[in-house]
Amino acid sequence: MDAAAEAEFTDFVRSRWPRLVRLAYGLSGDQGLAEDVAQTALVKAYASWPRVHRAGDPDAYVRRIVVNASRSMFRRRRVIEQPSDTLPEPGQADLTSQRDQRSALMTALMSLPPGQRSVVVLRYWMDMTETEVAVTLGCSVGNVKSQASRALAKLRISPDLAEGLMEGERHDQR
Amino acid sequence: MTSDDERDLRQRLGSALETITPHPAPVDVVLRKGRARRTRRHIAVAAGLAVAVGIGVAAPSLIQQIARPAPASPARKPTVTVDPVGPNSPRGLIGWGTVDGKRWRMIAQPPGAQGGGKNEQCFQPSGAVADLVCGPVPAPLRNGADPASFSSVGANGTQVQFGGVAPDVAYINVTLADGRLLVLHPALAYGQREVAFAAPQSLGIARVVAYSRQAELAYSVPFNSGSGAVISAWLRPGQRGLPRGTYKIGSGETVHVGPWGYCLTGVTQLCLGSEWRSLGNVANGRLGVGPGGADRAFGTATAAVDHVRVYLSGGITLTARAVDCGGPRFYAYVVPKGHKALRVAYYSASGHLLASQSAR
Repeated sequence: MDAAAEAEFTDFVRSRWPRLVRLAYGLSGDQGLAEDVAQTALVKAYASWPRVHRAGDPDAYVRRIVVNASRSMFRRRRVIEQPSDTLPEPGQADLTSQRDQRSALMTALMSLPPGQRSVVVLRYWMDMTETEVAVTLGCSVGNVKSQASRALAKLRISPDLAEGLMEGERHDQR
Repeated sequence: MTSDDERDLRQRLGSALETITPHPAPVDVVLRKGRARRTRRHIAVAAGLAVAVGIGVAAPSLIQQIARPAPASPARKPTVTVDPVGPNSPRGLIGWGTVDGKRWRMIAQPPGAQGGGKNEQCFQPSGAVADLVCGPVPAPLRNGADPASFSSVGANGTQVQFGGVAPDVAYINVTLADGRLLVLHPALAYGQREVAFAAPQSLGIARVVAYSRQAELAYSVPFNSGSGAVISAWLRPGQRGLPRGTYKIGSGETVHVGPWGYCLTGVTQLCLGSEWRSLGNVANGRLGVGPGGADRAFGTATAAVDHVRVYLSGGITLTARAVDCGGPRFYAYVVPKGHKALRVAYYSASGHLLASQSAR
């Protein structure tokens, strides 16, 4: 890669890094993991940068890698975490009086299957259209719609989100 | 699912994710590991890419090449050969031969092999040029349209041209600038018929002709620069290409018009593909990042357009002249770092608004 292309790529890394980490965090719930995933995506983008960049949408390319890498990380973590017959020692009770809103949402998000979680984050945080989400995930628009519908139905009854999404139902009943 | 639910979810996600503060971007680590992924660390890619990127209304195909000057060519004539790809060749081999006695090969990898998903495919050259190139899987070619879609990669004075061909292509003749003829026979790789050849970067390619079993299908006159050729526009037998001309369009960009269609040089090198015949008002053709980290962009306009106004984020408005390039008009502009082009408005010489469109 020549100096101009590398400077261009460096600018791309700096400007996209925070959003990619946040996307990966939304998919994994773990900031350390999210930074690993975002770094992996950018390393792969570097290896193919000239062609990726000239295709006109390097953001879409890197986003796809983050989504796929997050799924891979998720699968690896499931393999590593083996169930045990012995229960872990109970942790100390959280003495914080107010609930951590981010924590509540992330807990609810992590309870969704990876496919639904990806649709939620891409659709409702990245504000992508159903078609854009379908292209990113390599599935049909119909699949995106049904995943979104199922995800929202689950989140609506999630005990971690006792307020907020439930408001929608109350509004409907007026 | 109610819109209130969706709105609430958007707000919650925004609150949750936007408050994440990542560590500083690990630029050095990314560059180091990225280089390590490449087969030969000292190879800098100068690649042309025939992929439809869909800009603005007309959505033309763009072939773009980052120009990298080739080393001075030797005084003597280099040897250039293309060898047939036989039935017992390694899987994915789409072309091989020699340039000045040095063997080269081009191998297609299965789509998704590099982890970019099934919509990405990589090609692995070896020999003088050994840099993996990857990109979106192009749409299959069909009979009656362009017979081939070439990409290129170049380094160390050698260019490798490769790409898919339409089902009815039996062979392709490549005439080099010194008159030598290379004959390419398609090889099947992962469901797509492909061809490849290599030549010195400094040696121009005069003509590329695609044949069916019965007759000539189409020909192409490549755009040649010091860093290699871009094979973009295809013409039917007997069809004449555009008259040649060179036009400066501002922001350091130049449009080169000829039988290859329209190619731009400046911050990078880019040629319009088969849609060059039907250009209208098109916005947001991205050229790349120039000095200072500012984005360069271009667009095209109809003959009635005198100038355009580009509306950027942050309330900035730019004005660019639409330059007559022997038919369609081209304009170029610089987007300051940290800003985005939002909208382009097209005006006549008298200031009458003719059209406007999103620049995203």
